[in-house]
Amino acid sequence: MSQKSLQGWTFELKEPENGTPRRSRRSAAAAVGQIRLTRDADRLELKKGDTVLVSSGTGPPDVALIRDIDFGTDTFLDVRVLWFMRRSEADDGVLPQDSRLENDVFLTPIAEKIRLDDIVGPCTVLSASQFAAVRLDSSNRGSTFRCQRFSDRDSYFSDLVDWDDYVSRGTEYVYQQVKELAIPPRQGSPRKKKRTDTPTRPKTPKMRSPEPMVLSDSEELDLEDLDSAYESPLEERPRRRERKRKPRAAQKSAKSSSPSKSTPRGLRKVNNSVPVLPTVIRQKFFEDDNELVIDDDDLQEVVDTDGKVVKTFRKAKEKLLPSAKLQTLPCRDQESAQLYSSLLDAILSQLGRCIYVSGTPGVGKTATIREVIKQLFVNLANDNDKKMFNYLEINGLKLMSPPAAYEALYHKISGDNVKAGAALDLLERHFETKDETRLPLVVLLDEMDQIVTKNQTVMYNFFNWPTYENSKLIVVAVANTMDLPERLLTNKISSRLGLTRIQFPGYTYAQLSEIIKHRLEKIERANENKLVISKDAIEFASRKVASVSGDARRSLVICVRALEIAEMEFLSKPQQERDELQGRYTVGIMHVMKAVNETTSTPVANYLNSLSFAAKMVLVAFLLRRKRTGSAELPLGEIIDEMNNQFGMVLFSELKRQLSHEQLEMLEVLYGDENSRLRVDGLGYIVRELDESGVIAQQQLRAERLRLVRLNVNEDEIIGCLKRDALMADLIATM
Amino acid sequence: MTVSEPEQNLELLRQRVLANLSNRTSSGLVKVRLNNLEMEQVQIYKMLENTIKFNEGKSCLVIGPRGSGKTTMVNNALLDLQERFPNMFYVIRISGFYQSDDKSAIKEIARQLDWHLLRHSGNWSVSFERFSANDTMNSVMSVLDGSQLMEGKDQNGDDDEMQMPIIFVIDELDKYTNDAKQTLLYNLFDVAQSSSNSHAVAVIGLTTVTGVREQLEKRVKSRFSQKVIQLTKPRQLAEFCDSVYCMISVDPDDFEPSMLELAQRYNSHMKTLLGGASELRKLVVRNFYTVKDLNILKSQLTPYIAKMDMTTFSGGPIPLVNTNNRSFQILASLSELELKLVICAGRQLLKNSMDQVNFNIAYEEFERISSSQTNTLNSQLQTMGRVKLDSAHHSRDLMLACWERLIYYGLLVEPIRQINGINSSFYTGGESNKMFHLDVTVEDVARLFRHTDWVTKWCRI
Ligand SMILES: Nc1ncnc2c1ncn2[C@@H]1O[C@H](COP(=O)(O)OP(=O)(O)OP(=O)(O)O)[C@@H](O)[C@H]1O
Ligand SMILES: Nc1ncnc2c1ncn2[C@@H]1O[C@H](COP(=O)(O)OP(=O)(O)OP(=O)(O)O)[C@@H](O)[C@H]1O
Ligand SMILES: [Mg+2]
Ligand SMILES: [Mg+2]
Repeated sequence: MSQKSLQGWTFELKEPENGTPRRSRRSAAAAVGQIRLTRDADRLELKKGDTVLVSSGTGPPDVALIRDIDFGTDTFLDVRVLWFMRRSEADDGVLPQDSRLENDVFLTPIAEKIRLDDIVGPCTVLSASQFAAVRLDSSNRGSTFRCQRFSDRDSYFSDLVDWDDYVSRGTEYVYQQVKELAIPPRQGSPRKKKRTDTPTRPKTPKMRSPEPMVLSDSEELDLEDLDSAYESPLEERPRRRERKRKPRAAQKSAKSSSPSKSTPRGLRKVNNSVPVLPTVIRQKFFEDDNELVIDDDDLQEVVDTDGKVVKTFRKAKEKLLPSAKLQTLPCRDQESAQLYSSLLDAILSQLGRCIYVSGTPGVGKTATIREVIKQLFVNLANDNDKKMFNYLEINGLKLMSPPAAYEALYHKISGDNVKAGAALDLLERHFETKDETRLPLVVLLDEMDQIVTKNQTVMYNFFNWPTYENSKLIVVAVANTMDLPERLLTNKISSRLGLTRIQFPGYTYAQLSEIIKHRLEKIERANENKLVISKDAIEFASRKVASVSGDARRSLVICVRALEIAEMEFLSKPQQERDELQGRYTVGIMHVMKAVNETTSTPVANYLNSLSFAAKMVLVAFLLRRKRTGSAELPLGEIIDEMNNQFGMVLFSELKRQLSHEQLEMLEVLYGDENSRLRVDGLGYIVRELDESGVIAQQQLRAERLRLVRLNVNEDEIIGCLKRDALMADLIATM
Repeated sequence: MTVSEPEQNLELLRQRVLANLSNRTSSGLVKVRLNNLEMEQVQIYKMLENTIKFNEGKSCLVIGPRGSGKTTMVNNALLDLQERFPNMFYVIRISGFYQSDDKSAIKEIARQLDWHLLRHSGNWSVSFERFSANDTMNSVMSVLDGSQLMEGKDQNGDDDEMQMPIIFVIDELDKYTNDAKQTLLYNLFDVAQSSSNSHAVAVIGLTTVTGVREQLEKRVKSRFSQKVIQLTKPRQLAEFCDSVYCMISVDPDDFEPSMLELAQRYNSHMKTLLGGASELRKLVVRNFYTVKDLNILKSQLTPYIAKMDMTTFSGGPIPLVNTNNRSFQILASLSELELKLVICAGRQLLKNSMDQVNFNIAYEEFERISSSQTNTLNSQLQTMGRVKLDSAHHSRDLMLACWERLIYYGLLVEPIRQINGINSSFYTGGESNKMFHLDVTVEDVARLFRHTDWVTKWCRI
């Protein structure tokens, strides 16, 4: 149809609802979104997925499902439809008994473009159950149909299908399915046979709930097909069961350390509960190994006094690791008191509340909140002899998509698993209704900045529900920046929310040392008051960390590392010296210094030093060329030319001397046997390697010469490294 | 050389050597000897040992260029552990190349957990892998994450229940830093640093990016245990030779006593070859100064060993693998007209100092040169009193077809225009007006074909 034939119709373009702009630009088809056509005469609206009556010239109009409306190539708008076959078109002989109503239609996989002029009007196609509920009279007899089977428009009819289910999954799905299901199964092909009866047990999540999903059949078959193509399809079922019963022993003994070899795919999903990893074996291992440290092979020679040192170190390390269980958190008294009173107030008053906690990573936000919740549990339970509130943790970074937060919340409330969309509705209703018996629910919304969506609905809802009169929802939202609610929500909303704010400042150095000392207290008492880590060392570590971030994790990690370094040092000392120490060894400032250096040093210098001569030349050529042209980005072609020039001009006496030992010529080494001397051997490989290491960044372009190259590390660092290389000395001196 | 060895012994030796040179060495099924990486390997071993024995969760990055032995070293450490603690930990491997985004990585983790579980308990009825990514994530995190405070679970009870420790090996870790959220790394590092008495997780990340630590998101960085092990290529030639020796020598202990002597003889022969002036040594030296890469060396040595005379351990010349530019190889296979067109395009670029050229411009130059050449030829012929020669005229259509072939070969490359940071090529004009980059220069052509007279002539400006 040309634009002209669109006369009498108007069309309207709807952006795809959830397509990201990036994706839509990538593929033209997606960019089109949904086109909605409206007939001016009777306001008849058409869009993808609608069913319409289409004039067939003679006889009753045909029934069609609009597969899509799209901008066409040779016409302006293409309307493609899938045809239904009317009952009257089918041969009575092959028609299934239960599908012989006058209004039965059968979807066919036959797709066709139609002309807009031919469209008569709308019609409705219903599933068997819905059709039964409709009363037919003269007004709708000609436009209401029942569809419960697919057909190939000839003599084959599929098994019963649930039309509602298919429609709810979108037109494209219907098309894919009808293509498969409306084809008669080939005799003797077990795969096809199976396919046709899968839809009677639909895999939709909606249908799944009563009977846990039966994915499997077709997938299992894929596995089976491989080894038993010759067996009769009739034997499938019993045989499979037999296979399941097969002892696992064979599987276990199959020696393979790579899980990719075989996979239990397809044999699963009957149980919704989360599997548990085995525990037994390890317990046994630990029973055997009661005196762990001493028993260890590597420490066999370390006995008595030495063992004591190792043990102390071990214990100290355990205490210092961020995961250590603590009785109290030092240095967060004020914040936890504030939190405690806010939460207590909200719980006792049975009102909703929103608390916003902010602070940089590792300042104890999550740890403090958990601590406070634990205290509340204990204290409230002691006072009242019953549970006073429920608690749920949601971490924005542990969800694959923001709306999954609804699922988690609703699961907590009702114990049901529902999809996010439904969960939102149910939650909304839940928080609106008044329920005296309901316990307040405290939700810790960790890393909240990660559950923001484009229109902020998820975050908004979590802030909004607590303001409902009956919700009794207490949200503790945690994020890194203080102004997040303001930035993401409009002022009006954020001011209405009435957030309680608690800011966690970074730890000062004094606090960090306090935290470390606190953790070591017990051990030192047990260790006859002998220090494990010296005061100076702790102070030094704390100062180092506090000057950068005030991150408790960081300081703990540094101390653990210092312990490890000291332990290594201790064990490498000669036995006699170790004996003199009498089982006492203290981590000093030097160890901490080493640990700090390890965690801050960049490995770039090391990497640069280990580069091959040619790779270094690439960098030098870049620097030389850049000096001349002054541009930060250079095409690779220029670097190549520059390299070739340098090899022609500069003496490289040291390199030549080294190569003369090997009876090799410099140019022969560099360019290989090829006499054209255009590219250093393996240049492409060298440049790619530099790119992969992140020292340079190379444009992704097919043309080699034109790729732009940029330096990603400091020029001085490169020069500093190359200066130390005798091979490059002549060159660098000139720079 | 006096004793003659049975033929099959010689072949067996050759097979062993070739097996060492194959890429299977990094698949993690057998231990591979590595030169000069013992320290690093011990560090990794110790870290993982602590995880298995004391539930100490740690994360660690191994940084090194391609072929520096990262994968092999970690595999060696894991094999050692497997020997010492059989079936007492699970290893889960993911790679940024295969599981290119967080979602598929999580899925793969779930799949491998399922696999382990199945092998361990033969339990088919439960699984980590779920229909939706969200559920998969939840089920995986529920077993990994012991830090979450849950109702009804006694947190302080120091129960003896201990869950199988899990070791994650993430190859090409830098691929997971491209996503702003870095969900995967956040979660793995988080469960590692919060490993407790009942859960233990260790994470080893392998990457080629030296500055990968700076690419971590601040929360991820805070959770990372800050341990970095860097592997570098050998700095000294001698060390490099040692690595090569390590690669091509065999371990005499692997052989039966009857072959022991042969293996030792082979090893010492290789040692002298690598130490003195030999073809082998030359190859290694060349490699050292240019690419410095053991993997390339491996593929060069494979045919050498395969053809080597095992009685005397002498091989023929070692074939050089040309690793050079693809465009040059294409140039060598062009027809005369295509090559002429390339030269003309190159000439125009050079003369007008442009960086793009279209067919019209190149064709113009082509006509000019070919007609001037016919003219000079004609004038020469005329002075000799011969008939006038018709100019060898090639139709424009023919030349356009050549042009299109050049595009197809990839010698002419469409420029990328960036509009708002998105690559797009909006072009509606005719084919002959479309601008292209040329991947070679006139100089390249002249040098490559310096023995072909007409090319030299055409290239002269
Ligand atoms: N006051 C403290 N006393 C003892 N240990 C602390 C203290 N503060 C923090 N830590 C340690 O630091 C670790 C990190 O703290 P936490 O998980 O609370 O950080 P966070 O502020 O939530 O960081 P993020 O924003 O990255 O989630 C804790 O596991 C704990 O071991
Ligand atoms: N130090 C070494 N001594 C001996 N052989 C080595 C050494 N380093 C690497 N190799 C050889 O190089 C091969 C490649 O190593 P490997 O695959 O482990 O590298 P990689 O660092 O994982 O590289 P990639 O980044 O490509 O994954 C090894 O199988 C080994 O044969
Ligand atoms: Mg936190
Ligand atoms: Mg690798």
